[in-house]
Formats: sequence, C-alpha cells, structure tokens
Amino acid sequence: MTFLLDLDGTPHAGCSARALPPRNWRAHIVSFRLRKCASRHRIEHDATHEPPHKLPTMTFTALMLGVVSGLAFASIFVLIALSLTMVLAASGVFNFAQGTIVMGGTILAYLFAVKLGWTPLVVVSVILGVGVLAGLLTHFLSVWPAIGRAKSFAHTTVLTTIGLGTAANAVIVLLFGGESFPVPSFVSDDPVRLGSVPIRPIYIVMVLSGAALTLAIDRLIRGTALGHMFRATLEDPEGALLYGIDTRKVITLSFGAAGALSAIAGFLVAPVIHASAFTAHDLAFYGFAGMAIGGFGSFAGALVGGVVVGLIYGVVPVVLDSHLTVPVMWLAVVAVLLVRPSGLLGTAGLFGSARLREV
Amino acid sequence: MRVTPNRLTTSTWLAIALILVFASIPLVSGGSFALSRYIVALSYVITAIGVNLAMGYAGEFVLGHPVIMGVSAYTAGILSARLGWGIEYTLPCALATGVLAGLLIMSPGLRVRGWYYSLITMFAVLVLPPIAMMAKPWTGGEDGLTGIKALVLFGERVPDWALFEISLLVLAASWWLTDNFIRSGWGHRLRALRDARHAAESVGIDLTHTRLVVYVLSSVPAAIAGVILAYSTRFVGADMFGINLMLMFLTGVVLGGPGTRWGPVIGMAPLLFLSFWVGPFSPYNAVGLGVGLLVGTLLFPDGVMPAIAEARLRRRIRHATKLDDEIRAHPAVHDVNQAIFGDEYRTTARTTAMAGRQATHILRASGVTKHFGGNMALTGVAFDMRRGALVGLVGPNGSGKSTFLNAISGFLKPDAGSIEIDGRNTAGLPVHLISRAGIGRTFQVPQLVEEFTAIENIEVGLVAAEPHAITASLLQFSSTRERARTRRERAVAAFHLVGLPDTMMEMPASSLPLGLKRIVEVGRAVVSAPRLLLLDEPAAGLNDAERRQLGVLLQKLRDLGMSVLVVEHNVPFMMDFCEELVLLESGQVSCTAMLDAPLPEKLVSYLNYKPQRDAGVGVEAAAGMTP
Repeated sequence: MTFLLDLDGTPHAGCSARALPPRNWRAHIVSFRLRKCASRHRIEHDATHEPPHKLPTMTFTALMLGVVSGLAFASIFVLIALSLTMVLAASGVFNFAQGTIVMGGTILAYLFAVKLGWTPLVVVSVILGVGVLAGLLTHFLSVWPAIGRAKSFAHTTVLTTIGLGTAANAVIVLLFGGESFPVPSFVSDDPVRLGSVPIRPIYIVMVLSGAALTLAIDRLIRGTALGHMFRATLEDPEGALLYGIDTRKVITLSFGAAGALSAIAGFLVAPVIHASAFTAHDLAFYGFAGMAIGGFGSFAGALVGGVVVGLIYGVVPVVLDSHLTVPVMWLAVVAVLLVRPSGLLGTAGLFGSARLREV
Repeated sequence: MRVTPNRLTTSTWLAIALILVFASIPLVSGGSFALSRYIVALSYVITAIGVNLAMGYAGEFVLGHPVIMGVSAYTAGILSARLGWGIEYTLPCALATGVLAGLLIMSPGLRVRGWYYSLITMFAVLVLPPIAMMAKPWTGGEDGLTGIKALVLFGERVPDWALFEISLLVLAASWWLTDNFIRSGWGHRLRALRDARHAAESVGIDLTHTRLVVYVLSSVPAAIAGVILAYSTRFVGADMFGINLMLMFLTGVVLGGPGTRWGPVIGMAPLLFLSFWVGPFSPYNAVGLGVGLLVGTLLFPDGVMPAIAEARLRRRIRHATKLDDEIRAHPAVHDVNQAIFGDEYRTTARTTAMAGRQATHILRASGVTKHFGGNMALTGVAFDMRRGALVGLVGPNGSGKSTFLNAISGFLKPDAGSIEIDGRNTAGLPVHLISRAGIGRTFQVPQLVEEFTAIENIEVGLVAAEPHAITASLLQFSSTRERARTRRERAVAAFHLVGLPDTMMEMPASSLPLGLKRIVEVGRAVVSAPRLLLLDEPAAGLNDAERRQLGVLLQKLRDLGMSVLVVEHNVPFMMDFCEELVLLESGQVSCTAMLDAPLPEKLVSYLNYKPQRDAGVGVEAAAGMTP
C-alpha cells in the first residue's frame, strides 16, 4: 500500500512524507518503492544452498526436488495448521496472531543461533518457552477480554487477534529492522543423494521433526487424561463444564501449546527461508489454506491439508512458474471447497470426535 | 432502518454538511501531493461502502475488495498508458473487469459458507500480486505501471482539486445509492439473507439471485475507486492492493459497525486520520492500526454505531414496556384492519380458483421416506389434507414431525415418495419456489432479523413477491416508495390479524420474548396469504392467555380460507382448536381422527387423554403435556 498507508514501511532515512519534494512526488514514490522492494522479502527460498531448481527442461530429478522441498515445507505448514486447529477447536477462535509467532520463531532462531551463537538445543528450549509465553499473551490480551461480550465471539476475536498480530509485527519491524538475514542450518549442507536426487539434510530434519511433533500431539491428545479433558472441551464445552472440567483452563492451555508449536515451526523453517519480519502473513495464510483444505477443526484434516499446500508450494515453481504458486493454491482451496464445502475431512470431527462444532 | 422515504432525516442533513466541509478542503490545502493523498483516502472509503453492503447488510463475510480495486485500477491504467484511451473507454472497461473479478472471487459463496468462504476471498488478495508480476509487459511488474495519462474531461485536463471534488461526489453518490437500496425491499432481502436464511427461503426469496445482486453491487464501488486511484496517483503497483488494505477495510467496516449506514465512514475515519498524522511511510502506522483495532474491538465489540444505537434504543424500550404491560392485560384481536387483509386473501384465492387449478386436497403426501445415515426419520408417510382444514400433527419426540414439515416445505429432499401441494408435484423444487406455490411456515427456533422491528420482520414475508426493480430501488423512484407504502399497509393488517399489541410494532425483534417472536413469525408467514400454513410448535413459550389467543387466531386463519397444519406438544391446545389429529409414530402416520367423533384407542393411549365432553363444557386435560 504505497504512499497513503504503508504498513510494512521500513524506517528508511529520508523517506518520511514531510521530506518529499512537493513537485515531483510521483517520481519519488516510484523510486522509494524500488528501494523498498530491494530490501524486502516475503518468504523466499534461501538460494545459496539450493540445488538448481529451474532446469532448462523439466526432468524427473527436478520434479523430485520440488516434491522433497515441498514435503519439507509441508511439515512446517502442518505444524502451523495444527496449532491453528488446536486453538480453533478448543475456543472457536481463528488466531490471526499465530503467523506472527511463527515469524518470531524464525527471528529468534537468527538472534540466538547467529548473533549469540548458542547451541541448537538451548535455542530450541528458549524458543519453546517464548512461544508458550506468546501464546498465553495472545489469549490474555485479545481473547479472554472478549469472552461473553460480543454478539459474535468469532468475528470479534478475528479482529482482536489481527490487531494484536499487526501491532506485534510492527513492533518487531521497529526492533529488528526490515532487513532479512539468512540462518545457517544446524546440520551439514552437503546434499544426501537418493538416486539422482540430491536432498538437503535440513529438509530431512524438518520432515522428521514435523512428523515427530505431530505424532507426539496425537499421542498426547488420545492417550493422556489431559488429552481426554482437551477432547471433551473440543467436543462439547458446556458438557465438559458440567463434568467439572475447567474449560477456560483448557482453552488457555491450548493457546500456550499452539504458541509453542508455532514458534518451533518458525525455528525449523528459519534455515530455508530468511529470518525476516515480513513473513508472518504468508506463513499464517499457508497454515489457514491447509486447514481449509483439510476441514476446519479436524486434526487429520490439518495434516492432509498441510501436506497438499506444502506440495503445491514445492512443485509448482518447478513445473510451472514460482509466481503461480499462490494462484494455484487458491484454485486448489476453491476447488476442494466447491466439491466438499467443509473440507476434505471436515466431517471427521475434531481430533477424531464425532461432532464438528459449527465454525 | 424504518421505512420513512421522502423525508430528510437528521443524518441526511449531517451527511450534506459533512460533504460541504470536505468539499472546501482544496481551498485550504492546495498541494498536489496532499490532495492526491486525500483522493486515495476517499477511494478507500468508497470501497468500504461496498464492503459494508456485502459484509454488513448481507452478512457475506467477503474480504476480496482490494483485488477488485486492483483489477480495475490496472485495467484503467493499462488502457490509458499503453493504448492512450480516454476515460470514456477506460471507465466502462475497468468497471466491467472489476465486477467480473468481484464475481469470480465471491461466487464460491453460492456454495461455500462461513469461514471457508471468508478464507477464499481473503486468499484472493494474495493472488493478485504474483499475477501482476507475471504480466510484466503490461503491468510493469515489480516496478509498477507508470505513464498513465492525466484525466481529461470534455477536452480539458482535470486539475487535482477537481478530481478531488469528483471523488467526493462519487463517495456521496455511493453512500446515497446504498442507503436507498437498503431502505427499499432489498434491505429486507439482504438482512433476511444474513440473519434468517431459512426464513428468507421459506417466504420465497431466491437466495442465489439475492447473493449475485449483492456481489455485483458491492463490487461496483470498489471498481470505481480503483479507477479514481489510477487517475489520481497515475501509478499502479501490485502492493497497493495487499493484505494491509484488506485489513484496513475489515477494521474500518467492523469497527464502525457492519450493517449501519454510517459505519464504514465512521470506522475508516480514525484509520485514515492516523495515517495522515504519523506520515504515510511510518512504521508506527501499523502499530497504531493494530493497537487501535485491538482496543477498539474490545471497547465496541459490535461496532461504534451499534453501540450508539443500542444506548438510544434502551431509552425507547424503557418507555415502551410500561405502556405495553397495560395493553397486554387486555389482549384483543383487532378486527378493523382484518377486513383489508381478508379481502386481499380472498382475491388471491379467487384468482387461483379461476385458473382452475384448485384441487380437492391442499396437500397429498404418499410414501415419503427420508433417512439420515442409519436413522430412518420418515418411512413412508402417507397423508392427505383437505383444503381449509385445521390439522394437528402429534407424535413422540423423534417421530419425524419436523422432518415431515421440512420435506413439505422443501428444506429436505425426500429419498422417496411424492408430495403434491394444491395438485402440483413439488418434488425437486427449491424451497423458494415451493413457497411461492403457496406455502408459509414458521420454525421451531424463531428465525427473525433481530435488528428489524416486529413490523419490518412481517414485511420480509412480502418482498419476495415484489419485482426486483434494482435501478428503481437504488434511485428511490416513486414506484419504490409506493411499494414500501403498500408493503407497510399489508404488514400492519397482518400484524393486527395475529393480535400483536400496537406498542410492539416498532420494537426490535431482539427485545421480544420468545413466545411473541413465534407470533411475529406467524405474521410473516400469513402476510403473503399462503394457501397452506405450516406451524412448528407455535405455542411453545406462550402463557395460557396467549395460547388461547393463538388458537383463536388459527381458527380465524382457517375461516379466511387457509389450510393450517400445526405441530405441537400441548395436548389441550390441540384438542381445543384443531379439527383433526394425525399421529406420527416412528416415521409413519399410524392414526388419523376427526375430533368431533370419539377418538380411536391408539390416539387416546398416546395422548393419555380422557375425553370428558359429556361431563362439562370446556375440555379438561388429564395430562398437560405428552412426554
């Protein structure tokens, strides 16, 4: 949004409105935009370590490269979609501030690992703690005060979480700056060869940790008393309340857990995208797209949807054009929802429960 | 909200004063940079008015308007910069492409609902920039589109101040046209679509058509705003129409109060003010917008304008309840206006009779079957209903009474069997067409437009039969006002017919007790003079006096020539007022009986009811309610 309201505006010297020459401001805006574009990154693959993606002719190897990187991104999108689902299912809130937490994870990964030089294990545990705190903060600032006050809780909390996310994002821009920094991967960068396909080890780490986290959440929710309380709240909040479950505590917990999950997703994805304050919206949207394809509030749906979105994200740039990634993703969401208006697994219920709460 | 066309209200004067104040801005601030920023701000407010039409009034939570602006701005810009076309060609082309883009983004809403739909439209905003990058030869890609010719009108170059005044005029016109539209019958259609979708269908409103009209009309302001934007900055870049603009519209409309005439203007004002205050490129914009959104939403969860309206309403209700208590102590059915209503109805009945389509039975159902998975809700219901009868449908919970009503009115498609209404097979017809065949119905959970008054809710029952007349509604032709008058007259007649007290007429439906909401629903169902009336537990939530009044009303409707089918659990009520009882058990009609003859054993045992006709005058119930 040039020129009237530049929300992503990075603090460049000499670019305030008052400093603009009044005569040729049109030309000035163009040059300002160009400079800004140069310093600005949406989600970008870190090209330095990437095996050549664009080959003159599309080969099987290139396609497989797309699939592999797609799967790696899928594991991240699944984590984001899962954390969104967890909050949505427990409280009925579409948490738009979740993307900011993921982005915060990438930036903390940079600050701790590169600036401060901490070991990965320490970095992970600190990010985990910060993520829990950020999730709880989201709950207490933007959701808890709205309970029981609005005609439509869902609409109100969409706005409050967008507000919180936008503000937090802008504060991060102010503190961190608009630049983006590469984060070195925590493992070797020598590709592992699988047949003719060279695979970056970090991709394997991403897929493995994503799968492990997903499995852990599944076990936690299906196998423990805490998980049962969780599922009871998801399926029937009033009923759970009558059985003596403190649903507010469960909702708070879900925000904390989702925050941790999102921050970890940010940590994992940091080495393959740049650490930048401008990735929050995109990351959140890929999570939302995955959730919509799979069906809102469905655990299995988030998994399936995240994988679909990840594969589109990885394969489309190889097969078609990197500009077409988002349009194709949009078409996929529209097509899936036109055929099944509540997502692929939307009726499968929340975390395997029989009933889907209306969202 | 109220139908008071042809009168300048306070807010209209306020609007005129505001416009005059803004129109004098170019006198004070002459710089072309400042003026251009004002024009961009105006174009945002114009779009917000369109967003409010879809999101606020029609309840379609669409967020794709930045794309519409972008597509139309690019169209106008490309045609002007690359082909050198003038505004007389670029404007219509940009309008066409903008509206097409709007339809493309929003039409999934015909099938996809709720948050899924919002997400589709929200996601569309991310789609425009990469497409603009791919079309670099035309759009200029990342550098943006430059070289747009200055706006020329009537052979003269339009100076910046004139463009500002034109934009202000467009804003005023969009506001005025939208307001007219909302005050016409379309306002009823739109809000029924938002708050009472099933009720809207059941009174014959075609939801698909209504939605398409909303999509187009809501796209038009955004498309015009795109053209204004292109000509004022003479530069189009893809990131002008990104997520942030979408967030701004969302914030402005929801913070101001969706579905209020002033909402988009009031809501956008602080956001625009903020951006002028801290400067356009300041990162504090986002901090302010975010914190403002968070705090503003928590302070006014339903928007600023509704908060004001509610405070004013509270005063009115406190005043009205006192009067109302006196009147409800003496419930009386007003017969004065009923004559009008009766005539109206008889006319309709006569035309039908002359068309020679009058069958002996108003409703013939045979073998109606409906399964929900393994649950057999209906297993071959066979039931004929005489014209002009008042029939009670009874049965235990889960016996399929509501399912049967839903099958008759078309909300459920039966798996097998046929349903004939007035001699016409309605299988496979959509709900609104079945309704137009002469069916009115109420719902177990009342479906009312909460912000409408009782009388406006009854008017909703009439709008489906009116011609669409979109242009007339926008420009408030005299025909629109005439229609509003007739609509109000007929609604008042129905209002009196169903016996609601006069003080209730201007009360918002949200302030009515549940029982009276049901009566308002009955009013909405009978106002269009249906031939068959289906009532789903109308007596629930009524006290004894009101229940008796309802019974009298049903008999009166029957006397007017309507056939009435009532589902109800209250046995004394049914015994007192119905002529015939039909017992539905496990998805089948197990017994039918006239109430003037001795009841069959089956019905007696189900009702647990001992007839004591010989013992006394009134009918006393042994057991009040069935299980």
